Amino acid sequence: MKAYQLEAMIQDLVDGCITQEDFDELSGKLKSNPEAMSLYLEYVDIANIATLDAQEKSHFTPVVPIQQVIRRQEQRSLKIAVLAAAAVLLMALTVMRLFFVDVSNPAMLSVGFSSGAEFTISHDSFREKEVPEGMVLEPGSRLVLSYGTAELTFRSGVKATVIAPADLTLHGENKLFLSQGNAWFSVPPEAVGFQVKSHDLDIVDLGTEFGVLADPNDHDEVHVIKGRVRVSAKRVRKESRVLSANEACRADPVGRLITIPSHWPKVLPTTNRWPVTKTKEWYAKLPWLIGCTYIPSNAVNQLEMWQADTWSPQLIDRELQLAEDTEFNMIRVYLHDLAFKQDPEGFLERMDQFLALAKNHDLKVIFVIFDDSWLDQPRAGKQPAPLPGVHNSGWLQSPGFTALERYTEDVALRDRLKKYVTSVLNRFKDDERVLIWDLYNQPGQRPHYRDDIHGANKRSSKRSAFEPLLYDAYVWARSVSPSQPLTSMIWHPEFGTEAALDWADVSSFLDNSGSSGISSWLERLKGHKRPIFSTECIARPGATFDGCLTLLRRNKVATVSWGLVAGKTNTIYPWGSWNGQANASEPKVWLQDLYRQDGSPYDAHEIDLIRNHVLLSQSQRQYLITPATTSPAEWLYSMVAPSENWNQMAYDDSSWKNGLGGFGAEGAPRAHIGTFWSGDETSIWLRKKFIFDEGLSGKLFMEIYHDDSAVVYLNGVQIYQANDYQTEYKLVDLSRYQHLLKSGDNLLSIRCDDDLYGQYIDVGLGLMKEENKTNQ
Amino acid sequence: MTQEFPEPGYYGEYIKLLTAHQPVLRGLILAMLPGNQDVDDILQNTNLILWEKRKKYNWAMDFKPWACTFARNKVREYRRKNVSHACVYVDDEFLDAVAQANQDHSSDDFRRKREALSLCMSRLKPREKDMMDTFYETKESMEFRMNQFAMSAASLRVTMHRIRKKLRLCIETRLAWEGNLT
Repeated sequence: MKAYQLEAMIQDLVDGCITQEDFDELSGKLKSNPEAMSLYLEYVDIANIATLDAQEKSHFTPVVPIQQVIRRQEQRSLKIAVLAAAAVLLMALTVMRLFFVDVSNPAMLSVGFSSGAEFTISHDSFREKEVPEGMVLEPGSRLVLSYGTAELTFRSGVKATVIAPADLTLHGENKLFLSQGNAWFSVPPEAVGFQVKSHDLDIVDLGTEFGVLADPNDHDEVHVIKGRVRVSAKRVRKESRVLSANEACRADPVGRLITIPSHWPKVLPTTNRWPVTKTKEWYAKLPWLIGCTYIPSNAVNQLEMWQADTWSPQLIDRELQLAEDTEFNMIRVYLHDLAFKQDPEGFLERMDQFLALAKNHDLKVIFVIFDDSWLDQPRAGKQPAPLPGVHNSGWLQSPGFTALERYTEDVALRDRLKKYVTSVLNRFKDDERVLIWDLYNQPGQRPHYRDDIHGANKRSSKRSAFEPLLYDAYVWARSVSPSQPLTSMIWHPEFGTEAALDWADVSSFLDNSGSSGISSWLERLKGHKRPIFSTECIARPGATFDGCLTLLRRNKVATVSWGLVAGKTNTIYPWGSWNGQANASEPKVWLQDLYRQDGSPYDAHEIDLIRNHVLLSQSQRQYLITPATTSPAEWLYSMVAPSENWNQMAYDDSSWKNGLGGFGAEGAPRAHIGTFWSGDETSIWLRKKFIFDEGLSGKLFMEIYHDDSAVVYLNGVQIYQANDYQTEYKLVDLSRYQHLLKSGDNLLSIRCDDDLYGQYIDVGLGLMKEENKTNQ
Repeated sequence: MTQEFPEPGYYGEYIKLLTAHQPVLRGLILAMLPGNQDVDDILQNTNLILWEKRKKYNWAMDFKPWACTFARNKVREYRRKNVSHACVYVDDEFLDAVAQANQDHSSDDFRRKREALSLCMSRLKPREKDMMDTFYETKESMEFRMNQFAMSAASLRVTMHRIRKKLRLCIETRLAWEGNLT
């Protein structure tokens, strides 16, 4: 290890950003080498002093003056724990892994959190005792979980998983008060007698696994999964009974226990959730994704698309060709639970056929499982004709609002939907043609009724009716462990689809209001650190491709617009057509869709624009000399000062050495080292001959990263000089030197000098196509 | 041998000692748990235990080693409870080596170093000084700091390295120069 490397590593260590591997190496050095240790302590001092100075300056002292410490011991103390960024990252790696567990002396209760969890822990009445460190609870401690999942481990061996929103207080070694939350408990034999109290119920464990649903605005429930529990209602009648496996009950307002179907899931929406890193790696390998929602033009809704007698593979094939021509690389397709119900095997077979057709057109597929948009009460069989001029007059909710209303009570319905989800995912869980699973479109959208078209929005509906199904959909999908990520959208600012953001592998949103709406969702989703899918975003005239694509492409947001070929869905008509503004003649401005049924585009300019963005998302740089970031070029180099004409074509460079581009040593951030340049020699000279063909077009540019000063010559003429250092590649426009390029052999020569550690030099030279003017 | 001292007079002295040693204790904890966000919490817990043990303090002995023992124990205790919380796992040998090397650091040394650093800081370029301030004064995330200076994490890292190296060399020169005077 060189001195500068040691020093850099020491600084990284003090900043707390060093890998374990580097630390192990460094730690050996520090232990054995007093000088290294003393250097380390110097840097610790600098960090310590700088922090102390800053604290004094801002009058912020995290350390309470000692006089207050004495008082503080006698006071109740409150500690708010918000996960530090580093901890979040660690947790993301293993979602439900426990932290802060002291094996030798376990706390009464230790807590671990899922990635992105938001919580506060407060401790009460710790007289004469220290506030516990880390994520542990003692009697009197309260945990309020606003997002995510927490896993509790009691010293007694009891384990619990709690889903937000939750609020619980530890009353004793084996007694927990659950004011709110959805919690699952597993009690080992030695901890029998463990108690959970809620506002409505007292539950005493008799050796078991059970779940409790506590909600201050609803009646609390207990579900027994294994073994038995004794449950007592708290109100007037104080009914009490023993429940066995697969039994469940709910307290009623007068203290009776009402038997309800037991359906406690053993899998959580977050079980096997992809860690952020895995999702990011998956996404990094994909190009910018763009495509549309697809339904064949001869289908009025999902059932007409998927049912056997109207299934139209030839038409689908023809229309998907248009998607391919538009340079789309994905499509989003709605399934329907009834299509599965009436013909499970046939349906799965047709899905398979569809995937094959899509693959032929290089399209990956997003399947949508459930949907709350448009018509309630879907029915299998022949579908009604579209109402002329009415937007999506036949589109079906799946499973439909009426079904959602009875969902929690109707075991058969629940089992049927579970079978639908698990069968579909099981069949395609390892299928590379499937991009992601979109579990629920627009959860909470109001139901519409076709026979009451103008009064469609008037029927009141409980907009949160989707919640149990959305939760279950994740649970079912997780139980299958598909190789594709799961998502469900956030789309309405007022009601809760937020929770699902903590369950999803990739974030997705719907917004039809244009680029400002999109940017606010992006801002909101940023914190989740996951790839973002915009699963519906275009609605003319307000939200156009022209207005939105630049923003979406630059942020690498996977982009889906609604509709490909205008057809029976009538989605070219405005949404207002539901409210009596129906007009059967073709609207001047199409709301959605891209092509007519004859294959001609609604707006050829728009198609060009889309293709252009796809091109822009791909590489627009044609290299004459590739930088080390792509594939390192071969250079001639010298670390001995050459004679004066070293930058001329005629110079004899036969004594120079051959080396791959990226000259330097570790210490320069993001360097791609091709040839080691230790910095012991403070200067390096580079020559690279390349061929230029006059047929090539575009603006001459250079990507350069130099540390420290560098000077660059093209065919002997200086084209760049800088005396400072850089810490990453920068793009230099060389169009004013374009005339220096000659047909045939050309020479680029560079000298770089280094005066401190972190030396690096690399250059890429090339021609850049200009961005289309419509893209700013 | 422990001695009992009457309240409250000696407590005042004890508090003075404890207060004077805050920066050194903080430095020791930071050196043992580099980059850890909970350094101030651990210092606080060390203060609590030092306060509880006030009656056991032997006034004939130097305060620093006495206090450092408790700080070390608190660090061990913390590390045990927060195995996965720290950025790297530091082993006992590392803690021992740091404590050993730290023995020679007196409160006075630290004070001199602090004065030197303050002089050296005034010689930084305005932007460098801004960066030092932002880096250490905010509890903000790395992302925030990067945005502040429109830098990537990698370039922020190297820039901070350079600034601190400059400061380290400056302090060294400064202290050596002072040493020559006396």
